[in-house]
Amino acid sequence: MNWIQNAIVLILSAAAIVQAPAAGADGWKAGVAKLEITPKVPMWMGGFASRNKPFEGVRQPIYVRALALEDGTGSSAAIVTFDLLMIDRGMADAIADRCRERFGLGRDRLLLNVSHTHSGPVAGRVLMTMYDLDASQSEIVRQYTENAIDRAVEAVGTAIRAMKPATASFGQSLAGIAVNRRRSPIFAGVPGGPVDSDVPVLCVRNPGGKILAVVVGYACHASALNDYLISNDWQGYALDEIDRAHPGVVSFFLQGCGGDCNAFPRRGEALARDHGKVLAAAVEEVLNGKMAPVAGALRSAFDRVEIPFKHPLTREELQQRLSDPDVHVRVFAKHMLSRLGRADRTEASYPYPILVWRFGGEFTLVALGGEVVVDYALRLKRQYGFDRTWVAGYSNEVMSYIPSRRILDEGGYESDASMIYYGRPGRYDDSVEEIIVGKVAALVERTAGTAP
Amino acid sequence: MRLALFAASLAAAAPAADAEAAPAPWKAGAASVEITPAEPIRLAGFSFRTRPSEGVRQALHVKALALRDATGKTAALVTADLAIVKRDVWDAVAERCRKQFGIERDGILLNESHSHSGPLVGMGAFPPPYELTPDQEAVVRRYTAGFVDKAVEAVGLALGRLAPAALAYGHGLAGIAVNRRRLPSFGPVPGGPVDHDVPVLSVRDSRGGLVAIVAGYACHATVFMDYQIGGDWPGCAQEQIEAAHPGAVALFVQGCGGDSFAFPRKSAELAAIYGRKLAAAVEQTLGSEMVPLSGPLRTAFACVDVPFQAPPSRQELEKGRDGPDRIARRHAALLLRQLDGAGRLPDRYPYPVQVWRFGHGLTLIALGGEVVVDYSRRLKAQYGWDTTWVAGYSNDTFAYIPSLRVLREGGYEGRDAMVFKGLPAPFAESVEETIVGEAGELVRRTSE
Repeated sequence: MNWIQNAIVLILSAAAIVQAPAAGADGWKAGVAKLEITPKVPMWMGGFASRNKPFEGVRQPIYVRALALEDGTGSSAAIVTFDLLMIDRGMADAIADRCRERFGLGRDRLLLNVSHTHSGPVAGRVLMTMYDLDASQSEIVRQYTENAIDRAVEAVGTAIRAMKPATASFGQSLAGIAVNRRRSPIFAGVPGGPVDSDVPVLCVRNPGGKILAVVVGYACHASALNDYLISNDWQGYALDEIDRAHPGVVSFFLQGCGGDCNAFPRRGEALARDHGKVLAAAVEEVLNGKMAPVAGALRSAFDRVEIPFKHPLTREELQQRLSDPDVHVRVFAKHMLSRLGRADRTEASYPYPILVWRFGGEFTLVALGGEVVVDYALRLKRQYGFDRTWVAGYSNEVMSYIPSRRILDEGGYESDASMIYYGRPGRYDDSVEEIIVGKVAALVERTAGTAP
Repeated sequence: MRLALFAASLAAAAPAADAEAAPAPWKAGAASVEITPAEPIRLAGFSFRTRPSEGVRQALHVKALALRDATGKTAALVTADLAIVKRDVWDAVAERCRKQFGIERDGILLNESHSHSGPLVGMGAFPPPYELTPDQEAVVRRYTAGFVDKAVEAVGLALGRLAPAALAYGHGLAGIAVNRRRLPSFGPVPGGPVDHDVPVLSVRDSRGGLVAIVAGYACHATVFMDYQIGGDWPGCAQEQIEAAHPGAVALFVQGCGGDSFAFPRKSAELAAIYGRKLAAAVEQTLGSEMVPLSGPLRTAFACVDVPFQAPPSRQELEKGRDGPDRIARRHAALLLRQLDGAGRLPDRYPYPVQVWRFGHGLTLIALGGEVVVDYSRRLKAQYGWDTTWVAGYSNDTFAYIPSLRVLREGGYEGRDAMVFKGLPAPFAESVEETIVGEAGELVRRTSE
């Protein structure tokens, strides 16, 4: 239990003022919780294959945060964000199962999202071919993962118990932080790629108008820092700024479709801090401007859709790769063979998770699994309205990059090279984008209800 | 004649058999001259400002980089921490440089950072869209005359410092700009493109010391919207770069940032942050492997006629003159005066295009006006992203230059801004092909 520094539980809605006539006018109740998940024992950090030893210190504590929301119909839901590189399906399922058992939350009422910090500890069992973990380091990761799951469930429970009448509002700003990194030959050497500069903000206030929670989105890797100190990268500085400007608030970062976008230039704490301040200033623009009240029911839908791999690998193909000159390919092949069991080839597809939350008539939040490239956000917002659609990536689990058809055609890191690290049998089939966008449409339809 | 003799002696000093030991193929010199206004002056760029400046946040400079290739071809890049400089002023600078230094028009490239904390400049040929008192107008004229002198002075100083140099080119990336047409006040058209490239030209002396660093970026300089004089975020960036390299002159070249801005805005801290980000991108580029540039330097300059759409009729203008909007009234009155004077409104604009080609390593295309980002993306796609630098705001910032896409979408840069520029009508749909075609012609001419 002392893997993780003592939990700091912040129950911030307890001071809700009851006298305000606006109380519950649009029917919301909300509660927040923020638990620290900074590792105590030196362990491997996630995200960069170049790191060759455990972390050496802590630049910023890292957290799991939960925002519990109950709409006017009495139905609860929770957003849980992790200052981690990723969570895998095993972690997501464990958290979702326990939240259903303990709090009655259906799978469609739970949104899990990671900041994608490249300065957090390794958690879960994904991306294992990237790290050189010995048995004792693997055991540390296993135990850290268990504790992160416990903390997440505890945060949801705490937030639900803290729920009090609240109001919600939505607005957007813009922030110049992300660049399309595929310009660089390291990723693809394809210039001119798009970015999504939108900063969607969900603000939750108590009936007296005091801000309880700010949920902010942006589509950009958290990889500005590449040393041996634990932190939530530039997003951590952004959240610190927001928290400082609004004492008592719990701010949440929801990673968008930043699969192919990085904060640039990077490296060094000063730049990370600068990127964070830009996002925080964009959030202030929204909070100080006219936000749209969010009324009505929260309708939700969760489902999985099979996304096929282009060429599942046969046992023979994997065995050939055991003697590949690239160590990562050898490790990959060994790993895939160990997973093969009696099958003669690797799995044909991945069951890809998609979650849609419709906040009354105001906006729709589409949460996609994996490291989704920015094309998805732009396409879905174009389809459903840039001013009423929030597209999160890195949600519910990270299984791989999720390339668009364009990126599959162009090739490069996100479509191909990264799949080795993820232990996936090569690139996805060309149909992946249409399958995902089609499934999103079905879920959006399912959440339409009678709302406008 | 003196130049030709000099070139011959330089060539003679280079033993052809030993290319490795050959002297640097370039001579270069750089200079920076302060142009901070000495008295309160109306600032350029925002029509809501109604009074003169109230202080100085940051000193302004005009900077020059003089270059001479091994053939003796001499050219000068001039950059200014100003918002909008039209051809009356830049032509005056170019003409004086031709007379005093013998540099032809194609060898002088003039670019302003588009800082909206810079003063109005102009010689009265193109009145600004704001009402100025006669006193305020006199201040602008005085300042403009001084600015022309100092720009020429900077070129002269830079030429005087010509010394053997090595040029290299590279590019970084910086996330500062967003496409502003996402906002209702400009479009609203979400999902527009940006150009995050940071082209960097380094100029080093024979000992490897940095003499000049030229950096570009495509992004409005509109973080500050108050009454303090300054260089906005490009001013901060240049200060950062010069602080990191004492003795070197940092020149900022505005790119095709017509529809991009740094966002969020309105704070000194944010301007400093954007400046640091650009400076860090420049620093990382200087620290990476840059491509050495060989000569020769080939230059070309031309004005191509870009047609306007059909102008408004006298009847429409007379109606507009009595309309509710202050700016529109002023614009209609201006056009009516032109109509009365010349009998007709102009149907085209002589649009300046300039190309500098540095051997095979770099082609610098400098376009007039507030060019939208589509142009840099299209030209870089055509001529190579890694060897092409596209500047906007060069030689004559007289109007927004929309692409066909932006023109058809409408909004501020495509149509509405024309009233601020004193021009009769939006550009015709041929605008993009005309400009890209002329750029292509000059690229061909400098490749022969």
